[in-house]
Amino acid sequence: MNEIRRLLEKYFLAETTLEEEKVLADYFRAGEVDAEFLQYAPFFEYMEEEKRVLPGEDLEERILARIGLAAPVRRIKFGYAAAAAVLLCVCSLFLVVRLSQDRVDGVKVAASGGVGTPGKGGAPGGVVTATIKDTYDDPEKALAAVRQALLVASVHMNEGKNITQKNMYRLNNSWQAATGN
Amino acid sequence: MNRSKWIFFFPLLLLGTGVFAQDDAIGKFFSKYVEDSRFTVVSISPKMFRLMSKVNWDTIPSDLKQTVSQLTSLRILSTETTPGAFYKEAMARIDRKEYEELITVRSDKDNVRFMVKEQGDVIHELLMIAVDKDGFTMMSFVGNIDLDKLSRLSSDMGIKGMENLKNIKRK
Repeated sequence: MNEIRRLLEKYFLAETTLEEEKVLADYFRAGEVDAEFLQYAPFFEYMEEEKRVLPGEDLEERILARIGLAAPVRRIKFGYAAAAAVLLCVCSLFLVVRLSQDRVDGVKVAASGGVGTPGKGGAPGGVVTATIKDTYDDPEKALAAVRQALLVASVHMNEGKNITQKNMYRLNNSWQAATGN
Repeated sequence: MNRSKWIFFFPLLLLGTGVFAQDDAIGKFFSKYVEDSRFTVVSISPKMFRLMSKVNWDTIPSDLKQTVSQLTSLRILSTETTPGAFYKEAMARIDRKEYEELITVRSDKDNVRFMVKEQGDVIHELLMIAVDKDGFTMMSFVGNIDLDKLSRLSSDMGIKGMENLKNIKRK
């Protein structure tokens, strides 16, 4: 009994060794506990019970499930990043194509400024600009040209219906006069 | 996951429009001859079409106004030199998959072809190629084109319209 008392005192001072703790546990597990130590019995019973609580067999799966739950979230984030990257690439490709086309247009039209347009000082063919240049500077003149072109197209479309060949040629002639030829 | 599929699909759509943006098969023809002194070139950009909205439209018939307002660009190439040869070249360059032949007017003296490029039901580009012994003309209208309105333009204006044309030119 004295041995048990000594060990208990040591135990609560947290000075027992593992072996001594085992002696105590065995003593309380045996069931014949002295009335003097009865107050400690529930404590040691509790410790025994707790030892028997083992992780369930599915613990691993549950942990993985938890992790698995977290993983898709990260993957989705990566997906967005990838999508954004693809989008960026495609957009920039698109822009590059567009811009290079515009530049070609600019060269084309700037060059055309010198060919058939009255009142333009640009050197024919030699002007290279990044911006689009029109044949006409004045919207009204441009409108007149568009109107004329539309008319020519329209007349051609109705050709043989209500426009005579003679009128057609008049139109053609006036068209050519307008465009400088 | 379904949503991110769409996110991947969206750039493909963009790419699709990018391919469509390179529309002008005849653009090659234009760029080839734009600096050629044998050709007369008229080019009106989308920017100029936007500027036109500021012009005084009071004297402009409404059909014409509507037609013009739907256009985004106009290019004209014409020459008096070897019209037949240029006509053949132009016809050879046109991608028949893109351009659908609309109207062909053939007489003993001249030959006019209208071709359209459609996107859905909308005519996106109208290409006119005309040739006679005196010259070759190629016109490309880009925009939203209403053929009914276009054909009405000349009949509405009739001879008067053509007289106006002459005046315009002398200015």
